[in-house]
Amino acid sequence: MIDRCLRNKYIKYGFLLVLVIIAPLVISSNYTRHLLVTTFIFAIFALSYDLIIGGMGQLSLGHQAFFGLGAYIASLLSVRLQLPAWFCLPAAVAGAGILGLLIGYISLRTRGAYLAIVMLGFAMILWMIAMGWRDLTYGNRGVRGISPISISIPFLIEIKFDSPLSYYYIALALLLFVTYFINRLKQSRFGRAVAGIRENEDRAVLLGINSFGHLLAMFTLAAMIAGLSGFAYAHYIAFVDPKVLSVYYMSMGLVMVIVGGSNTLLGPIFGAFAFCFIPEWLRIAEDVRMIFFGIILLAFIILMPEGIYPKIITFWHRIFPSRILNKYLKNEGPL
Amino acid sequence: MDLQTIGTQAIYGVTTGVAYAVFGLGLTLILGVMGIINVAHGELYMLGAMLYCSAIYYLGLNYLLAAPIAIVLICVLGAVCSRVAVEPLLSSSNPLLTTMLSTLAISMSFMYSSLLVWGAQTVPADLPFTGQLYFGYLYIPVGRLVLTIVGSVVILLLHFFVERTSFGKTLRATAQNKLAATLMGIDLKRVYSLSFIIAAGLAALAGILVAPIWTSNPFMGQLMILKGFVVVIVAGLGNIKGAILVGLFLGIAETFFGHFVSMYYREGLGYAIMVITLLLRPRGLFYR
Repeated sequence: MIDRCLRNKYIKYGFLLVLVIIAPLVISSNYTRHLLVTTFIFAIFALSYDLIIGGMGQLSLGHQAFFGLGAYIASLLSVRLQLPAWFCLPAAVAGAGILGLLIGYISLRTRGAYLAIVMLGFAMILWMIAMGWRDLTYGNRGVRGISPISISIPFLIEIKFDSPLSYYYIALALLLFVTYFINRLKQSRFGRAVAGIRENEDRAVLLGINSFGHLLAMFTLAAMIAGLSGFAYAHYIAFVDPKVLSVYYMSMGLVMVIVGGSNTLLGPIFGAFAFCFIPEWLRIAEDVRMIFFGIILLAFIILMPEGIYPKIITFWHRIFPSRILNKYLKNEGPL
Repeated sequence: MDLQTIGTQAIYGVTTGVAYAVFGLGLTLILGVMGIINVAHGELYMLGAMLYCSAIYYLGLNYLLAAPIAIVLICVLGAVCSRVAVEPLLSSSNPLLTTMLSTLAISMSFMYSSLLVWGAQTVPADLPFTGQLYFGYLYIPVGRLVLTIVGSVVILLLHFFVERTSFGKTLRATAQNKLAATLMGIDLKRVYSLSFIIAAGLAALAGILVAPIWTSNPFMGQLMILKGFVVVIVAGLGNIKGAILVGLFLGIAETFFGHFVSMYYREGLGYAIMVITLLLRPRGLFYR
């Protein structure tokens, strides 16, 4: 009975959905709710990063540029122009997307190491602008007083999403949307074409796939999703400083993707859970956290480059065997 | 804009360029021979400078003793990094990306560990070569003179080593074709380890040479690796002569840009040059 229910995807995902919806109501501590919200925001970031690492098979050392740009656009529109958050959302996504298109157009002429380093350069330039252009960005003092997301119908109702509990549902909705979107994207004709380019670019080109255009589109989409996570971050934390453009967020995203499992849908989300909760539980200071990230990243790259999530899936199917999946696993390895 | 300013800036530019060239040579050597990019190169440079300053300050050693000790320690560290984080990954499906990730992980751990050990400030060591010389109407800091002389000698020695000795031939053969090199009886593991060690030594030497003229703190590696990347990319994959020329050019261009245009944005100049190069010649200026 349990076995059959677990195999039905509507029951399985419906159960998970109910679980994540009632979770913050059961959890009474605001601190844990806050951690969950940051987990969701970074899960969006990690998923977008995985579109480049797992989806395109390329490495970018500057993905934080799009996260930071989204955060800066959202915060500056909110603080400088007093625009409502629902206007900042499309602006942040579009801004990150336009930058992604421009940077991708330049850097996707190359592959591999060149791409990674050029991206790092762009992130550094953005960081310098954020630090140096004080009249716009307040420099290293950061942008303060970003208004929370709110829904208001005049004379009727006004909801402000300013507590961890209320923001939880915003972040959850964004994460679910992004997960669903990426899932559909990877199964679409476009996603399969990008996977083909990743596996063998020459073959894909010979089959008539425009590799530059496909990679550029994928890169832009990844940038837009990273901008979305930056938007969610800015309106939740209500403070943005040049640190959002620093290597710290890039290495955090990398650790989440690699440890969780790249090119899986739930791997980066799992990684985001692990790396938002474990350092907080262990009460590790931020500088020490980077040493810890570095060692874990190194260990995973050398010992388990496919990440934890595929291992969990194989383990799960060993407990709850299913005929179709077993056949698939024998031939293809974990999903 | 008188002659004295231009002369001073030219001297500063050339000396900075020599530092970039010595640093970039190590990166280029590893890229050429092993086909990977060592992101932790900047951290080896930083640790070289920090160990040198610490040996002088905490142990009271003479600089002639401190420098070789620092270089040897960094070479050992480089060999360990190579064995642990680079060589096991060379057989993976995409060695360039996996080794970039693993060396990035090493770089993160090293940088933040040294931040814990030394704190965010300079070691207040009493370094040699901090005075100035006076030629006609030009002031030349002694540290920059020493940097230029030692750096040029090392660059020439390396050039001689790669072009004339038999081990240099081995290196070039490996860089050209790994399979053919193996068939000719070249022990790839030995070549990889040795080129990594030489590169680590070059990074440490660059750190020691710039310690008297720039402040040395745990963040210096992060700044320098960015210049190293610019040198490598603009010069083209693993091109040693190109790396020397681009290093010199970058140093001169940055110094003049910093003096005449904007001190703040001079750090971004290298990236502007890199982007323009990629647009015009995606494989680097000196790619053959």
